[in-house]
Amino acid sequence: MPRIEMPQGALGLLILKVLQAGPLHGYAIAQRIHLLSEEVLAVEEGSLYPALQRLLLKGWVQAEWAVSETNRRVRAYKLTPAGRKQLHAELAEYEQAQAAIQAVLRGA
Amino acid sequence: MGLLRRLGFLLRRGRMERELAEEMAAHREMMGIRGEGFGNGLRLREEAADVYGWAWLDRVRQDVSFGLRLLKKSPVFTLCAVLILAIGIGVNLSGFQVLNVAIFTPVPVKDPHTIISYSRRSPQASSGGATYPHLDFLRRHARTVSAVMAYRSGDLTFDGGRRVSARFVTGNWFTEIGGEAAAGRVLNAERDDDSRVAPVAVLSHSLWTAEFGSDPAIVGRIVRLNGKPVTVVGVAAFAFVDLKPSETDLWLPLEQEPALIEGSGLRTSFEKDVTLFARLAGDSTPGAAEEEARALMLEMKKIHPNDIWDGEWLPVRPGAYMASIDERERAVVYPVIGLASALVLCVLTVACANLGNLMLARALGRAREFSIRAAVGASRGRLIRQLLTESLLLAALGTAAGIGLSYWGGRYMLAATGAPRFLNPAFDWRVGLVSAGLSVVAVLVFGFMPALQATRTARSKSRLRGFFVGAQVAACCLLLVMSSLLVRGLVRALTVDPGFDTVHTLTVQPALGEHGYRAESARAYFDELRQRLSAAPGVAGVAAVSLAPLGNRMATTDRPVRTVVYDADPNYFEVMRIPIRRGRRFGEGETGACVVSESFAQRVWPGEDPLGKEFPGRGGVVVVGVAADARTVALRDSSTTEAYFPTTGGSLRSSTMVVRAEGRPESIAAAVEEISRNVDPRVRPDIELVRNNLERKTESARSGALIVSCLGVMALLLAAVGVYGIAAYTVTQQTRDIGIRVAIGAPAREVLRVAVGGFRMPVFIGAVCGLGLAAAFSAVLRRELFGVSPLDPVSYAGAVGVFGAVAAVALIGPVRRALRIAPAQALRYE
Repeated sequence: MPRIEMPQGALGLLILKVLQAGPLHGYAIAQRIHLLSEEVLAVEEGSLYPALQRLLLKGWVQAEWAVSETNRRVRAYKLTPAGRKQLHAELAEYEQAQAAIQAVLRGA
Repeated sequence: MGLLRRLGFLLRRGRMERELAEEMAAHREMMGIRGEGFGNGLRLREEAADVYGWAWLDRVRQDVSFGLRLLKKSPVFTLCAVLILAIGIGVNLSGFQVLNVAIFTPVPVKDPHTIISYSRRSPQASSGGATYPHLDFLRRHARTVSAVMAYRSGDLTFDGGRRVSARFVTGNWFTEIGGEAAAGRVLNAERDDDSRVAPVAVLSHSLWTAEFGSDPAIVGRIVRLNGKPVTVVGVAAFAFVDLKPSETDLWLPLEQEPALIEGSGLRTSFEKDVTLFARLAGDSTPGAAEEEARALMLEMKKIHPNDIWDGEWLPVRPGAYMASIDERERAVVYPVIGLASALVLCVLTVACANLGNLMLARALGRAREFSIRAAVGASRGRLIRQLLTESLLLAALGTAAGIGLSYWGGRYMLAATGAPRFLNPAFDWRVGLVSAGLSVVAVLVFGFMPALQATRTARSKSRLRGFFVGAQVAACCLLLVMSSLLVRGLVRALTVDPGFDTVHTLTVQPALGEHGYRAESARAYFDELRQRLSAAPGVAGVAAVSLAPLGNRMATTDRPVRTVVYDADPNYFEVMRIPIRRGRRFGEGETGACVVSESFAQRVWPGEDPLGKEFPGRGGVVVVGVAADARTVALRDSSTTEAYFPTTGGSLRSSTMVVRAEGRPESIAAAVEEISRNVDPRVRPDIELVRNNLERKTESARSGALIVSCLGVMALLLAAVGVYGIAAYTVTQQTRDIGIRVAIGAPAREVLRVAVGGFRMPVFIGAVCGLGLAAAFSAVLRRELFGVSPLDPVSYAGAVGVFGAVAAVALIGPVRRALRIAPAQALRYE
């Protein structure tokens, strides 16, 4: 299976997106992204935690300690209202850019 | 918001990091099933924590603790560096402290910021003081001020003949500036602004202690001043601080001045100065007060058309400062302050350059450490930051020590200049700002440049070292030139014949104008005085002159050249021992004749015969003689010339009688005083030995020479230590090189060239720069040089000589070591 490096800046958006469904802990976030991308995108752990700290700092996610299904103490990340707003904004922006790129690619 | 959260992260940092570690451990555990690596946990955690943005703080902490460890490891170096810096910064701060209390800090009186002072000014004339009519007019009409205060100084004769200095002040003086009494009462406006009541006085605390043993029963006692009974009503508090502080023994109401000084005419006189102050009313500004005074002067001009000058106004200045400098004084005072600052900065320059060399040598010694750190991934910026942190630590220690040093230095300087006791160097925001500025500059010079150099790989370091050496030499030479100029000027003033006799003469100053004399009566007074004094035993001669030798009065004209103008008796030249070089002096009762000095003749009629020429600007006055140069007013100021005219009744109103003694002037002083008191008992002339005047005139030069010499010696010592250090270091570094040269038969000269030859250029350039700067700025000192040229070659050569000698002594050790290097030993070195 080919593994593709995450494009710059996209990781934040993907994290916000997978958190939309509900709180997840770090490892689960990485797993979810990996699975949803049909095992194409691999989230390097080295970039996941700095990205999570950044989101915490911005106030877009909140972290809470919880107990995982394997009975392990984990930190679960939850989308805040600000984070939800940010997600919508970033999605809209992304779709706009995507459409524009598509248009250029088709036309050329 | 982001900042708040970031701060929150900083405060809860420990917990955050622990949580992150735990979280990552969990992640690793869950991943462990798949058996994949997680990488270096610590590194990952650090990267994640970097997001908080506090990583720099960690690094600073690391650098500081590393720096402190290093400094602790080499205590001798640290001590030297801190000491050098403390001297450099301390000297500068002391100077600033003095400036601070003298110019920027008001004297501690009540609400000092709303006190203003007035002086007189017109397009043609100016005066530092106003007059009683001014005071009275302002008091009655000014609305921008709530109170008008004034004082007039005068010397009075106390009971037993002792002279005391008195201040005649308006009744509101003490209440306005917030002065209280230690015993009895102070003056007050209701009781004391009345000329009809019996005279009263308030004693100073020091007079009370010295003369009356702090006896509280003094209150109510009657003392005699100028022979008049005066009731003591109180004693000023020990802590009382006067406006424009000076040594004052007692205060009397201004309204009583005419009662004590006969013929005073103070109330109507436009010639007797009073120093005028006011308290601003409510929210009025100094500008508004000045505008109002301008309008009031127009009104006053209508009442006194002859006495108020054309276009007169009263410039307003802050009143409650030790020195309030007006625009005209600025031209004189600012260059002196500038020069003084430059000189103390020289000491800092020497200190910094010295320390720069130390730091550079140390940094080079750590080359191996730096290359190891670079090899394991430290960037150049990181290394520079490390070095700068160390410099900053040193600077902080040095500044702290400097502040302590400057406190004592400032106190010493204030005490040495005889400043009033309330003047204390204090640590205020200005001093704080200046110390911070100085230490930042110091760090930039001695820390930053060596750090840049040391971390630059493979590059000659000798240029920077040369720069440091040159800067030291330049600053040191500048200081040495200045101090030797001042010392030579002083020596000359005190030892070389000034062109007139200061040893056998004394002066009698009756100040007749202040006692209501007119031209005719003044002439009669002087005739009588001349006759009585001439008859006295031990008197060799007497002569009246308008400007007392080395007195405070001055009359000059600038046309056609700068000339001091004297109105003198014909025998003035004999009494003062000023030789007539050509022609003759004017005769008794002769008018239309004058005598000029040699320098005047040379400048106005170069190459011509001055005799018979008409004096420029005075029709009908012919030059009949040429006298030798005699700078009796501004001692040895070679920029001026002299012209002498016969006395007139008008000039006699302010003239002085010069008395020449056959022996020592002290021996006739008492007789002269007795005689001159008897001519008119109302007039009590001041008797002064010209020699004492000379000492007073040279006082500022003396303290200036002393202070600059101290600075010079300090810079010289610092530079000597610096030269020694740098030479010793170079020799050590080049031991191998020298050893090889000796082994292949190099002569001693060659060894010397290698050891210290590299410094020839920087030393030369530095010396040239220092001498050049000295030549450029020394003209500012002209007034204190007493005729020594600002370009005096002896001073310049002397400065270079002294510096050379000290540097040579400092070099002896290292050079001897270099010459003794044995090749075999040198090759084994390292």
